[in-house]
Amino acid sequence: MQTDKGLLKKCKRGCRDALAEIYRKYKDDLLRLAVALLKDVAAAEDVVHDTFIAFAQQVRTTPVDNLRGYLLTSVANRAKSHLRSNARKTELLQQSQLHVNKNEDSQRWLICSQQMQQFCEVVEQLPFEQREVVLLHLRHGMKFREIALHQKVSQSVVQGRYRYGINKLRSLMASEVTE
Amino acid sequence: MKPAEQFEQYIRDLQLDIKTDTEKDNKVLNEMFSAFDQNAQQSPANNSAVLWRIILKNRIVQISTAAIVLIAVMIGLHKNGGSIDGATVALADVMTTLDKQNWGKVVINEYLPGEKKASTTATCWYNRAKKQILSVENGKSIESIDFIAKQSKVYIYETNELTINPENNIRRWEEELFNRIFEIKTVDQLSTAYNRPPIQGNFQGKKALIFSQTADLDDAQNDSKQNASKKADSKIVDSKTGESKPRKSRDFIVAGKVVKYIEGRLYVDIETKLPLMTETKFFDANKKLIQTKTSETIFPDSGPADIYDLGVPRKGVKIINNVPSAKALEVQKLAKRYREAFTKTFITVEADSYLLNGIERDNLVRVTYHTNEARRFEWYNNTQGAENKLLTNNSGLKYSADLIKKATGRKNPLYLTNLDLYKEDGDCRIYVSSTGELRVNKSERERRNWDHFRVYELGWPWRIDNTSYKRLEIIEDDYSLKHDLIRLEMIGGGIDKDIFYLNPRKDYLCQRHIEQCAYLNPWLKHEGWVDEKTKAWIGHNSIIEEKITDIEEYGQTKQGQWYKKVVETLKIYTHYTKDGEVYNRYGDSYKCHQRQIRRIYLIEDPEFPEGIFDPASLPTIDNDKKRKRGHKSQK
Repeated sequence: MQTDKGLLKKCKRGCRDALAEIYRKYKDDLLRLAVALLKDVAAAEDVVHDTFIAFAQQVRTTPVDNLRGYLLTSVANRAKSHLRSNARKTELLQQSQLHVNKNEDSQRWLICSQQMQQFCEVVEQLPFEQREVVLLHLRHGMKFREIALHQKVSQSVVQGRYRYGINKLRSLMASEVTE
Repeated sequence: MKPAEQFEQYIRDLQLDIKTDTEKDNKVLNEMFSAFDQNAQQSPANNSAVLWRIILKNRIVQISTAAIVLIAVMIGLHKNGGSIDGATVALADVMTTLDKQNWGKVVINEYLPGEKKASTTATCWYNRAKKQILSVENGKSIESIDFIAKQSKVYIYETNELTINPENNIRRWEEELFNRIFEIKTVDQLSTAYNRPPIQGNFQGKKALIFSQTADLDDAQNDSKQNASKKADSKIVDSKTGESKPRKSRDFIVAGKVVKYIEGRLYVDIETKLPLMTETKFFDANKKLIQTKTSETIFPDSGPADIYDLGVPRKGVKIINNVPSAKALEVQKLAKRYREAFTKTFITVEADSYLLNGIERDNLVRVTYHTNEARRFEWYNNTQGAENKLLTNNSGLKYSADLIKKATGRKNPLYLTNLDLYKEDGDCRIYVSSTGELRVNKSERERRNWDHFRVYELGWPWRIDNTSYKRLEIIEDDYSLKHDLIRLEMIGGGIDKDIFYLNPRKDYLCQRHIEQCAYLNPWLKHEGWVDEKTKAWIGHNSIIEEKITDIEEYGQTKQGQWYKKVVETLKIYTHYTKDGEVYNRYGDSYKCHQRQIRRIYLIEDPEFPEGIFDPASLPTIDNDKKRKRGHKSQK
């Protein structure tokens, strides 16, 4: 498998195969992040779709050092915009059940453990910034420094968000178990 | 493992297995490829020639060595599309060190072949944090651009004048370039710059790495042309023959000669890894040297605080402040706000009567169908155009013909000359020749901001919205004081001057609008305001034109909004010789006075005839052919 830098270099020279390779490599990862952030598979799919289209438009001109980090934070940013702009989607997020588009073949989309469902329900109660940092760091292995770089905030801010987020998550999950 | 770590591990291990299906993947990939290919046509690599011209033509943006690197990047990207690893690493080091320098001072010298003394010398400073550029062109001018305050200042030694220009005078591309120059930080962007491996040499006793690059402008231009020709908009259609021809490409001129080849060199200090100098040589088609331009760079700890530190006298300078007052801007906004508040759903019939030197000429009528989403304009006159039969054959045109009759009471026939339809998804234009032949031009495109060029003018001339003026101020005169109006004076980019007398008691309608166009007017003394084409006119065959439009009668809608009902326009054209005297070969008659009276009939909240905004219901070439065949068979 080619490295990200190699793929990017090829993309900048106009190689379509490299672009397709990037898509295949990261689509599932990005979709998982979007679903965890939005709790709406259809919306998550749209966000990932938009992210890849924008990436294809900009890849030749935009400097990208860390491809995976760039794509993950792009998805997080788009998810944030989506939540802000779409009131209907926000209402859906208020629901406790993990939303799956019933019109689609649900088996195709989601095979989800009970623990994961519980996690999704709880993580949704965190403020978006904290949720984003917790998911990017824990679930997607991004370093605080990388997150800070992409979000254009200081590393201490990111660490602060993570600390508050993880503590709240622990207490929320503990209370869920107690109940 | 601590409980906190256990919890983190637990979260990490949770399984969320989501996958997309192949059909969806293919769809997304197709869209990605389409976006990818579209971007390739617009990428800076293909626009390199254009960017390159902009950079080299403008002294302000040449000040940073980084700008010269950018030129090389653009040319390099264009020429190679690849990287030379040896050069890449070294240039990345240069950019890293350059990135840390807040102040830069560049001395630019231009040498003609065989001469040791520079023909032009300019010194420039830039401050990255403050986003400021300051420059001195020896013996001529001192300039500054502040991209944060959005203001530019120009001091001219000869006239001892300091002109302060407003935000809109800082051209967008200048700001964009300033930003782009300092965005070049990554190896990727530099990887194609200076396509030859660096060599070691000396520069003023210092050990230096020398990067070099060559460019053939013909190649760059040909590629640009090819890309341009792909776009339908970039063609000019001859109105008579209907043939399309490509736009003329502009040659790059240095010292009065056309440049075909360029050689660039960048000297970098091996110890500090900072640029020392760039040297650019321009050659003609025969590879004969036209000019050499050098930019020596140093990176001082500080620089001039403002334009006065560079030698502008603090006293005794005539200051021309072109920054509009808050009151002037407010008045401009108010007029715009009233126009925007005016009803958007209406039909108007505008009937013009012309009096040319006392003789009645054409009678023109324009019918406008106007909604938020679509606009349709029909132009009619009584001397040439399609036969009346066309009007009766098409339901939309028949409706208009009846409307004109009803509104104006006219009995003589009218001929359709033009029909324009503007919709969000594209526009359609029909030209009708005097023989009745139709030419249809339909285009589908993204919605343009057509409010600016096809806006309804029921009292607020669209020019009042202009944001690219050179000067905007409120200056009272006898007329404004006598009629209690606000006089707003706007000087445009070149030869235009607009004076608006706004009536605050009538929804800020423009009671009197004076449009002046004059090549010898005093406001043109600053040459920077006039483009090359206009300059050629100055002092030769100058024409002065003045148009005065007065509202003679006001109308009021049911909601109480005011609009113009009857207007009278007086146009005066005068030809001048190069000495400014009236060119009197044709006697006084050449001082042409043209008077026009326009009456506007407004239909509020109308019921639009069916299909009036539907392009399919417009007259088409096919219909026209059938109509012609019908004529022949009748004969």
